[in-house]
Amino acid sequence: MPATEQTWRNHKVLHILFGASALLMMLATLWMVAKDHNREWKQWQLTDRKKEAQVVQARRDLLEAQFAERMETYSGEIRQLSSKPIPLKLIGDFQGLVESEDLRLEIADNNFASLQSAAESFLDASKAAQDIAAADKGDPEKAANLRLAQEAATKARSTLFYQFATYIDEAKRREKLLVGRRKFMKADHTAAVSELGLLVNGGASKDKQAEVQGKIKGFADQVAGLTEEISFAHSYRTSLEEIVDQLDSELTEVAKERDALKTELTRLEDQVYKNTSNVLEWVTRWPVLNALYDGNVRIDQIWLPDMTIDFNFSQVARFDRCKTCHRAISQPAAGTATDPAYPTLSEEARNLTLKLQTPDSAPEEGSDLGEALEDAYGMVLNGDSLVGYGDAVLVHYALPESLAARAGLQSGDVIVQVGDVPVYNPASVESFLLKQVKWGQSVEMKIRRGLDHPYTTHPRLDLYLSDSSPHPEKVFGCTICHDGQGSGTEFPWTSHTPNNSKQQVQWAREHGWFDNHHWIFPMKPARFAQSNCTKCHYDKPGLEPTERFPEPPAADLVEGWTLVEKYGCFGCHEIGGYDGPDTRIGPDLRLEPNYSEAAHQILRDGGLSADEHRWAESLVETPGDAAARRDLLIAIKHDSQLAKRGNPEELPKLSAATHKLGQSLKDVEVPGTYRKVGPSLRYLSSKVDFDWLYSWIRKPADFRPTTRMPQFFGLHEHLKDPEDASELAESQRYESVEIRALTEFLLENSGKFTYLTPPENVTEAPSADRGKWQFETRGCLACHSHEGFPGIAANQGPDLSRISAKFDSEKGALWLYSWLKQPHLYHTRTKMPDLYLEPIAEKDATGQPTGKVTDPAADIAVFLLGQPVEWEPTDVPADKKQWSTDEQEALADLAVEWLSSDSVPKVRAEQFVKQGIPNHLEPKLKSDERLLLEKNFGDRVGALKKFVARRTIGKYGCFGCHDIPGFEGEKPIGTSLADWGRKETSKLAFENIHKFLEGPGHPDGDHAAHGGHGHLDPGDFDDDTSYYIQSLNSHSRDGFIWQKLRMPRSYDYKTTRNKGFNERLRMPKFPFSAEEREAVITFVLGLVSEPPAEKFVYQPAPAQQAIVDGRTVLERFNCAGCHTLDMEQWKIAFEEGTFESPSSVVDFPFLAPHLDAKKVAESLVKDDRGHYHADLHGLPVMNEQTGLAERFDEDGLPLEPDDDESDPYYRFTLWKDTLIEGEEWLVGLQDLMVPASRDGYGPNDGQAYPAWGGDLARYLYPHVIEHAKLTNPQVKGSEAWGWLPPPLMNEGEKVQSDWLHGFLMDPTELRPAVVMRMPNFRMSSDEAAKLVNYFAAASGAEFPYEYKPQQRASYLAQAEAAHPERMNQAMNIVVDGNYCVKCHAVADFQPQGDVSTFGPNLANVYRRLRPEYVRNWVANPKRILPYTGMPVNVIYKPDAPHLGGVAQALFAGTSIDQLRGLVDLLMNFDVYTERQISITPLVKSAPADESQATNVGGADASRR
Amino acid sequence: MTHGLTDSQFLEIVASFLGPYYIALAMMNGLAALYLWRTGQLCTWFSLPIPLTGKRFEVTNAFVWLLVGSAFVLLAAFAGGGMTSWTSLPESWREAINKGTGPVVYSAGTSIALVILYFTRSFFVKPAVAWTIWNLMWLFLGLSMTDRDFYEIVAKPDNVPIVMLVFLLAFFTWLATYRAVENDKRIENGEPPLEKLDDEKVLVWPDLVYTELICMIALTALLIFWAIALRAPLEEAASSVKTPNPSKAPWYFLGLQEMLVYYDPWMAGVVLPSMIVGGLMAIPYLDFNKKGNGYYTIKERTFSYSIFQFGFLEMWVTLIVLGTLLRGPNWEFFGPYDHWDAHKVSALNNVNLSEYVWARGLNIALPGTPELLWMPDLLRPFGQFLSILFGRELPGTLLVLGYFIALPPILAVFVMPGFYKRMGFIRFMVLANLLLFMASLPIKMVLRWVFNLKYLIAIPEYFFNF
Repeated sequence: MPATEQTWRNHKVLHILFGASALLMMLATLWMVAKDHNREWKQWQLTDRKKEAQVVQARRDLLEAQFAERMETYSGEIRQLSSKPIPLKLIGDFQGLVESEDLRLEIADNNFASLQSAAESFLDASKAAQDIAAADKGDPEKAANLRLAQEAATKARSTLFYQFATYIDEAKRREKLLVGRRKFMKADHTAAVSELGLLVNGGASKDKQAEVQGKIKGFADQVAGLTEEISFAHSYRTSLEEIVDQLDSELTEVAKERDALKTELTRLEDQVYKNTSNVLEWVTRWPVLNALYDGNVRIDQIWLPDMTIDFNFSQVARFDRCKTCHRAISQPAAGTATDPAYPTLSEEARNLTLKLQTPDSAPEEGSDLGEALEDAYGMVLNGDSLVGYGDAVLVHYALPESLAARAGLQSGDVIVQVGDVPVYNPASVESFLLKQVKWGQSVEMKIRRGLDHPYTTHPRLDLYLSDSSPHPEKVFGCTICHDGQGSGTEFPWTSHTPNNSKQQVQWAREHGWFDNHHWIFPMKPARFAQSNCTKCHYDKPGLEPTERFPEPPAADLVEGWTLVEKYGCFGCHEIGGYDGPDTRIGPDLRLEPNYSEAAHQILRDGGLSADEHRWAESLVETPGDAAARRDLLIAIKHDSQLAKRGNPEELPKLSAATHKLGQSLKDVEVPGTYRKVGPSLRYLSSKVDFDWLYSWIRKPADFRPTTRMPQFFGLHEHLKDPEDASELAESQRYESVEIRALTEFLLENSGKFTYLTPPENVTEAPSADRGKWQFETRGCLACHSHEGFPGIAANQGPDLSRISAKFDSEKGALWLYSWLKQPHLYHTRTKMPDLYLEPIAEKDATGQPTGKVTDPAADIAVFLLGQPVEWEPTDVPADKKQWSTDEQEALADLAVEWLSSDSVPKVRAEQFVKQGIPNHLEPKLKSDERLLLEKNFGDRVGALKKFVARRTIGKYGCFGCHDIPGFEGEKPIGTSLADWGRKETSKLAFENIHKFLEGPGHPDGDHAAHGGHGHLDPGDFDDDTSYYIQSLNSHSRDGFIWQKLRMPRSYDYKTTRNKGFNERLRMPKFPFSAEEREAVITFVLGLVSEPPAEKFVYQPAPAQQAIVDGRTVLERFNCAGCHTLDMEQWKIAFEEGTFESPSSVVDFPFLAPHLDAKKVAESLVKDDRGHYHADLHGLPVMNEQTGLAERFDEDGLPLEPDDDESDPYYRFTLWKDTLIEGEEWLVGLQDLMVPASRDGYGPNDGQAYPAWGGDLARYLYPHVIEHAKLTNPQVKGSEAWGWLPPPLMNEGEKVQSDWLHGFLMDPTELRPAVVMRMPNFRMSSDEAAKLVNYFAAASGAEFPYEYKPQQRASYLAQAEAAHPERMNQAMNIVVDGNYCVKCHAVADFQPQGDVSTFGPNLANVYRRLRPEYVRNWVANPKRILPYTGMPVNVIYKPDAPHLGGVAQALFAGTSIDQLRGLVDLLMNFDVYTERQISITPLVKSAPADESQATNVGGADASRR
Repeated sequence: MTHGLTDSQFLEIVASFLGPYYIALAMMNGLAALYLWRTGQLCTWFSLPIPLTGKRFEVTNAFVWLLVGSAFVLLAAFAGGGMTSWTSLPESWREAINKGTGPVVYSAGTSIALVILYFTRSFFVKPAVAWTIWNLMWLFLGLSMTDRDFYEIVAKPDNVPIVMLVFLLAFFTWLATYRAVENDKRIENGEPPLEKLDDEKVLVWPDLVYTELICMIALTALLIFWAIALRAPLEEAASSVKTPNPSKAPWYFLGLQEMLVYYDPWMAGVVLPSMIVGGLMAIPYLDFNKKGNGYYTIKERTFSYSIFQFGFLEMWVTLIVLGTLLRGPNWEFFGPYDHWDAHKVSALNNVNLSEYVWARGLNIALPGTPELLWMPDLLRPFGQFLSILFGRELPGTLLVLGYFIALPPILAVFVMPGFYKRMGFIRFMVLANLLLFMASLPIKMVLRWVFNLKYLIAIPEYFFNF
């Protein structure tokens, strides 16, 4: 077929289409490239660079302005120095050197004409300048002349120096020439040597070798010659240079200082340059090219290969690219280690109104307003745009001490308004401040300060990111703590989480934020930022403030943790921190194994043998007694096997219930450690009556608003709708049955309790007045609150204000007395200690017994029960003996609810409830169903009641918090929380929560239910609520738990109709405030069970671990209620000269402070403001009447409360040696006068961190003084501290571990002076050991064992060899009436006089105290306890004979010997007393039959 | 996607989409009017008297589309301005649609619609009618977008192609039918079909290759634009403990996935797909109708056309649409405006035929499985299988065998004797069996919906269910 030109389609059209499609393709490609290139993070970085450049530029300019004067001075000095005449002698020397060198080298032509003339002309010029300078200096014209003359001199000087340089250059040239020649010569020499070697090996002739040898020698000689030459040349040159240096030295010095300033400026300029864009750099950012250059704009990522993220099938390394946008996140402020460079400020701190003082008179008019402004106010403005503001008026810098700086203006502030005028450019501000103000008055300025994210810095660089912090960024990255998508580089894809709905709306608008629920680790919102700490920190104390981090590191989390512990959430919800015995996965909050309870119940079994009884009793008291437990377990197992065998000859002795209980005695792999938080209900009927108990169960807060017992009944928010009226009625009907059945069951089920009665020797009737004083001073207020004692509120135990209404009966009073006296008798696992409320034999003022004996326990009971209270039980059933017909019906219906199931139809259940369950079904029944057997159905109501009550207890899990007889083997009923923070949200039953929130559960109160498809709009609520509403809308955990805690039953809204009564939600409502709720949520959300690699988990060093463990025990027993465990810490900043130098002290050499050079240097560092910093530990002096910190004026006189004029000060008593401006302030010598804050407590400039513990001691301080003044008006306030629970900061250094352990287990009376005595907490040996280790570790002492060489026989022998009589002589001091025995008892000896001044018995020191402590204490007690009344007895005087000390008649030797002797005696008191008696005479002759003795021993050892 | 946004935030997003959307629709109608006007295809539909002048204003098709275009402009203003209550379907309509999209109504409705469309095709292919429907479809989509649940499903990047597929399919079906109707008319009048009119030779270059090249470039550009505009969805990391709910196959397999609801996986996943592939391959060998080559026609190929359209549109496309848009969490049915609530549960108690017959119909226990101890071990499973098949499952077995064995001869003799004659035994039997297999799906669906029938033959002991 012939080809034709004809085509089907128009060629031209096709071409056009092709062109169009190609263009389209190109467009697509370009768009693709652009889209790929213009990534969001680049813009953030560029803006941040600009900000950085701006800020550094401002700092540079400020420095330049500050340096200006110094620079000027340096220039003047340099001019002056350069025009200073130089000694002619040196020029002569120089010339002489040249001449002699010329002579040496035989250079004839030495012409010094030009040098001479240069020298002369310089000297002339210099002289002229000197003359002018010598004349009057005030004349400005002369100054100009002087300057000219100096410049001329400088010029002449440089000519002269050029001449010098010519000679030096010539010398250098010669030297270099010689060096070069020698180099060649050496090379020839080496070559010749090598040639010789070849010849020798090649067997060349001797002649040849000799010839080459000769050559070598020639070269060597020449080298030697040249070396000598060089040394001459060298010394010539250096001598010349030395002279020139000498001439120049002063000048060089000044120039160096000037250059240092210049370098600083240049450094900043470099930094600015690095952050400024220029054309070349811009080109490198182009697509493709940017792959070739690693420019300043790039993705900044931290690679964390070991910090993996769980992607279900594999653990993947993290790449945290957060710093790509958050560039300044770890940048410390210039000159500091951990202060943030760009702090994140609160909104209040960002919008400020400042008062700018204007100069007193109008400044001179200048042409440049900017300069005029700088002159007048010391500030420079800048019209640049700051991040996020567009064009604005920026404060470029404010000079220190200027008006602007005094007003508080800082570099970077944006001026928004001056006076009433909004401003937009620097010119308007300048003209306003220079022309329109009233001089001498202040102008109000509105400014905006600080930056938005992501330009800010992390607020806690001390804890995070910085290299000195425990979490350096290179090791930890960001997302392990914050979560979120670390690899993302775009705002929405990094899974930021807004903190409230306002922020969310803003983010959605500005950054396209959306809730990416596909990323299952969304960032924690700011409010839960602390949650993730528990990923690595499994113990709460590790997150509490310490001396190094006094600012609480995770306050919310710790609060939540504490709340969970206090409210006993773990009673129902197990929080297991272990995955297997050795693998930790999170915080571990579990109940301790209920050995004690089980043993208690086993004791009810009548069939126990004597041994079994003994083991069980031992277990009740000390559940940690593993030996008794195992013995008992084996015995019970054996018995239960008998039951199984059913051999009629060998029948089991124990009941089936006991056999079952035996299971609870088994070993637990890793036992929990928490005790149940509620009181034991084992002997409940001995304590309370039906009415009170009914009312309490119904609504605990009714009786005690602060109670921790949650509310189980009457939670009907979800049944409020009118159409749910029948549901509501049903709930109320059943709940009242439950309450009544529970009440009666608990009382009936209770065991018999034997009350304690007052001892017989008590002579006085109980007195409420005495009781009140006892209640106040015996330590009750450390744990309990009472309305009668305002000023102290403790919540370890319940509030006792209304207790009289609870114990409004005879048995209540009996119970209370027994409880006070011996709490463990009633509740073995109570944390309430035994206060040793033994009868007190009263003494008169002289210390003689008056014959009256009082019983403090009875006094306190009378006091507590005598407080009138208006509370009455309400809504209690009218007829307490008989259930009404209605109630009986309801009871039966409820029993039917419980009985009916898929296998037991309702009809059948009804029949059972009517007539009882046929006896033959017994084997198939569960234990509580057996209560309903026909044979037990004699008392139908009673049986039903018991059955319902037991089921109700099981349903609500009462045994999670209380010891209830018969429920020892039950397990927690709630869902486990160990990984709740990652719980799959589709497994949460949100049910009809949105409708509930729209209707009866509306967060803002009652709202009529409104229809509509959408959910509540978070924007309608306050910030906090909006977050949770939003979270509920997104079906997230956070919202779920919030609502669950707020209204635990609300997820039952509209579901109850189709749910059995017993299938409904049962979580009770805890009385949390909104903040507490959030704290609890913070904790629970942190339970993610995602332990990172072991090396990241917080694994404290042994000492640190001891502290962590110990703090847990300290908290458990509320030690801090009485004792101060750490004094207040004040971090202060102060100006030079605020404190005078400390008074000097003469002390034993071993008491001299060990100054750490590094710390001294640190204390001498000034900050940007020119202030010093110091860290004080101690307490301000308190007022003796009020117990509040007293404020003083400058002269140390107490300040009147209405005095606003004087500057207030605190007298700060140091409890730790402190460095202030490089000087050591020692404990116990004098108080610091610390400038006080005018507005509140704390230092004027700095931060006061509260003391840890000791509330009671501080509360009691004024009270005991007042009390003591009744008998002794002279009593001194400072002494009172000695009567109160001692502070325990250095307890570990002080006491021996073994003694402390014993003391904690069984505290003995130590000091007669102390108002209260250490009670007995019945802690376990393990707990006591933890405390002992804690104290030792906290004060840096040795533990768990300490070596005390002073108590070794070898040491004593050595010491006594040198000084044989030292022990006896030391005893002389002890027993001398002027020394120890004046105040201390020693063994059987008791001092006479005022008990309040007595010290502990010295015979026990050797067991109790550590030797070094005793030495330091005796040497100067105040250096350890500033308040102590003990004087310095052995005085050290370096100049006196024998270095001071006590009389030589008592102890011959120096004061140091005496002191050592005393310490050795006290530390070996047992050895000393042993020497006083002889045992040998006491020994009787041995019995004849030895075998008998052996037998007796054998029998003893047969069984433990 | 709109997860966690407040309603107002969501409406903001929708408004920013709907404004341009309606403008585009307005332009589409404007262009249509322009096209009609410029190509002289104006036609006056009716005329209105102009008061006082005595003249009449002729309402032409172009004028009407212009009016429609202006209406869309107004809609654009309302929707873009956020007045969504004016630009949404009324709540009652949405509820009606939700109710109307249960599985039964949906399947039956689409079948009936297909039948109606088929018989009234000459009306529906009229450009004015088709254009009206086209406009209504877009309008429906626009009005529905303000519904959050609808938006969630339709705007999901995964589902956008399926929505586009619906529109494309509508267009191409119309185009083919339009031309077929034209051709049928022409053939009736003795004229050649349209395609035969310009039956000239076409050059490979430039007519084919050049066009292909242009298409290729344009398509690539389109894909790039698409990829930029709609990012590939990034979902959560795979987990062995959590499967996505709903777990959906790729969109083109959703028809198959839908079959899994009614058939045993073995049947729906293996047998039926193989039958589809095999059947499609067999078509050229089964087809004996020489007409309809190279031009569109319906009348000359009524059988092939209707079978194909039923198989493709009804059995494949509508199932894909159903699977994509109407199947939600737990593979539950959700109306287009229903919230995909994972907690929705519907009663699904399906019963096997054997249970119906023995236990419920005859009131006797199901025949047990014989032990067959006398058989050799190797054969025993087969024996047991067969004895179940012809014992307990006898009713189903009879039905199925009857369906596949008895029906084809009946078809051959009574229903399609002409086919049988022309195709011969084997070809006819293959065709009949393929047809029966195809029909088995709708039949099974109906049985499930009407009788809660689980399986006709249920032998779970040997993983054999039908």
